[in-house]
Amino acid sequence: MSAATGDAAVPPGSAPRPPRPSRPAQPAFGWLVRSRWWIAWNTITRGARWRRLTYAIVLGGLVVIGAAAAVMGGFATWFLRDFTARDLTPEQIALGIDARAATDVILATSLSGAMLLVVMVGFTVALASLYLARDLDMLLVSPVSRRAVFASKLLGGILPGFALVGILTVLPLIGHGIANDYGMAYWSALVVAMLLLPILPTAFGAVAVVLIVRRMPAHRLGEIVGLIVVAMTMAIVLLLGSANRLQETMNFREILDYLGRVRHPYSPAEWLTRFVAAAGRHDVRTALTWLLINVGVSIAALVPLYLVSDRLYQDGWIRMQSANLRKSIRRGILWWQRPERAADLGRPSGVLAWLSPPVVAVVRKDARLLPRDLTNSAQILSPLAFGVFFIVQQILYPLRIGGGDSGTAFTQPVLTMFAAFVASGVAAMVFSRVALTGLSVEGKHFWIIQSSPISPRQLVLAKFVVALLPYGVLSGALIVLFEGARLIRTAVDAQLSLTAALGLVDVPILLYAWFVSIVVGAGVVAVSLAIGTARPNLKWDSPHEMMTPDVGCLSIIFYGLYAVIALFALAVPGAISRFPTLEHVWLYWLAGLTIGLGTTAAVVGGSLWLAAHEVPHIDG
Amino acid sequence: MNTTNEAAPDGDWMIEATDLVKRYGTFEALNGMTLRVGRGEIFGFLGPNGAGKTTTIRILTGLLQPTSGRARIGGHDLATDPLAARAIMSFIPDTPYLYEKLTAREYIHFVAGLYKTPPDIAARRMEELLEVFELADRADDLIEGYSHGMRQKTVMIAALVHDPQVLFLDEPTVGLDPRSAKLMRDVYRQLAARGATIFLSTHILEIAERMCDRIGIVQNGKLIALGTMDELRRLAAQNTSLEDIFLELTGGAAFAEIARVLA
Repeated sequence: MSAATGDAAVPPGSAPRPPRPSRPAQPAFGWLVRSRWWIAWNTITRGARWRRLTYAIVLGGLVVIGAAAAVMGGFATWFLRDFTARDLTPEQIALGIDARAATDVILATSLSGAMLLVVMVGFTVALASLYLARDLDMLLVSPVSRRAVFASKLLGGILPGFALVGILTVLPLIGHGIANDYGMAYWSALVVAMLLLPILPTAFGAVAVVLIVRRMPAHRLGEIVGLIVVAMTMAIVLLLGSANRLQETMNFREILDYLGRVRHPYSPAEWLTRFVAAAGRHDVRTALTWLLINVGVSIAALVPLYLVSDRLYQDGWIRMQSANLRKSIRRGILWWQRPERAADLGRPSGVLAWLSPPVVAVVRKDARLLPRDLTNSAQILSPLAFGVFFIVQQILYPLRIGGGDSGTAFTQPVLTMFAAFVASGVAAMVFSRVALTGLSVEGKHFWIIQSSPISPRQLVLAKFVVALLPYGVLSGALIVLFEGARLIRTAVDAQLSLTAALGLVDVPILLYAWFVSIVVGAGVVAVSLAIGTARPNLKWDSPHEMMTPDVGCLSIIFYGLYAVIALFALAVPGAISRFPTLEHVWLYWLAGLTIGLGTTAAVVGGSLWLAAHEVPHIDG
Repeated sequence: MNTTNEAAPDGDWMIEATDLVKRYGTFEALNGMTLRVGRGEIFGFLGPNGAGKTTTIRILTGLLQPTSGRARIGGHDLATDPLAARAIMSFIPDTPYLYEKLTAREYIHFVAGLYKTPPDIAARRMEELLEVFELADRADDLIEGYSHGMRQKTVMIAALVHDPQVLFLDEPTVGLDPRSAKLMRDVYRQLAARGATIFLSTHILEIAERMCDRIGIVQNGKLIALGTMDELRRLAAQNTSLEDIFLELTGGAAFAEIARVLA
């Protein structure tokens, strides 16, 4: 063949050369990281207007929170230094003891908090990035080193989370530095510390993930980790909620000592604290010592991560792909989930007997799906933290009116209605989300509903029932638990017998409180359902993506507005019903029930009509 | 080109699309689609990618609203009487997205409930079909552990439980092993013999050629040919196989050019 024919010229007797790449080969790691940032950049700059607006609002919120954190950090440092300086004896001053050293507790608390957050974020992000990302199939079969995929995925996943944690940590420490008049050494050390801080928890998180995924499916691990994070959040909420009570039992010095417990000598955050604090005080030798320790430990953590990543990551990935996915329904406490109850899906019976078969089918389908996906549970469990917190509060620090006895017939209804108010709030937070994502939860399966003979009204009614029924159960249970907790404390304080304590329960008011809660719940669920139906998101892969922030904010504003009006109108007559000097109580009942029930009827009717009107316009 | 429906049986139309137009912004996915399919007929719907097949099926199953035009199923207008229309049909999509956290039995009962099928009849038919499709021993497993073929079978059983008069199938044999594909073809034929209308969209021309009573070929949102295999052969006189007819009618020269470049 000759070149004239268009074929490439190959010297006789030589093997054909491989084609030359059109551009120089780039290091795989850099290429993958850059690709990830292009995707992130395009998502922000080319996204829908409302999405960009959401990013702007979140950024604005971060700036405000950051500024507040900086001011608080500075103020706390100044206050603490001033407080400690007053305690120093002349001998201590003569020995060169600096009041600024006492403020190191702020440094230690901030860095320890940041490290705890990075541990929490790091494990989840490592799991999501290393095993659950959607492009892994493509990347792991491409001619790119597995180590590059591992490193780029880890970096790309951890950076956004750490950036957020870093900003929230650095800002109070800026205030801390300014208040202490620290110089350039402090600022440089702070930057180095923030760069070193995520290495250790991320490395251990990643190693832990690759090791655990060898034994457990990544999706199941993700669900469990979600629940653990929720449990930890609940614990933190409880701890913070009780913090103000510390003042009643501890003096300032004791609180300071209490906070100082985070300064454990084996804590990496403490090593960083010592490095930054020494740099701030121009103690070069100490600063350099702790810097070397921190760098050494970070390298020591990175090396095994680097060594095990290649083999274990690939191994875990292969195991995940070949895992036995056969999953049967287990017999559990949720009786309606059992295999022999499958036929119930198409059969109206029990409390649902009054509904048509298509409505019952959707209700029972959702009642099976929601508890089976732990990711859903993790999301609706968060608001329950407030309920648990309130129960603990009722036992430790029960509500009292005017500091008097909480168990009199006069005050009992007020406190019961307050319990209904809190129960409604907790149940609303849980089940408004269920209603809000009622249509979105159908996701890519919406074709099943859309092509079937279920009318928009029936579908909306089903989604309403799906959220309202458990709302009623939860709010009722919470009211009983709140009242029970308060009763226990009252009985203990007054040394009452069980019978005497139970005699304090005002059953009609308790039932009315539950009724109020259910009525308000109907309005909250209907409003959330209408908003969720008007803005459904059917294109999601993880339940976290079902609800967009704008929809969440809108629903809280609308149902909050309604709930305040309805709760106030319905709860006031109940609360004051036992007031001995009040005349014409029936007038309060009439006004309250008319306003409360009237508003609810209008809100429920209007919202469900609006939702039913929107359903046919949804393109699945 | 023959795009009328003179050859349809009995004039008893179960599927009627009249001047369907669907626009996405300035893009016109359907440009006046008109077709009719009779009772007991197996109708093949062919066309290149992006020709408007899926849009047509989605409109005829009520998943999408047309910009203009009218669609009727069993005489029921999808715009004015959608529930009656949907009650007599079933749809089996090419990608069966199912509720991952339901079992096959639960899913089938759920669909039976949506169609108001009496529970005892639904249970009996379901068990029969689970046996026929060899899915009975896995019917209490969560669908998330199913293969593509098992999901297809699950959708198929759910679609048949309420005994539909009209069945829409989008790429019905994708992901099925040859035995299951043959089983499905036999089931479709039996259904058609009992009077059900089957509307299937496929890229596998052999299936269309062997199964369908009539075939419609769509391109650029319009029906460009419609008829029995013999009628289509007459239309493109020099060709004998459906593949040749299809390529001739939809611009086979372009494919030849691609093949030349790749060679």
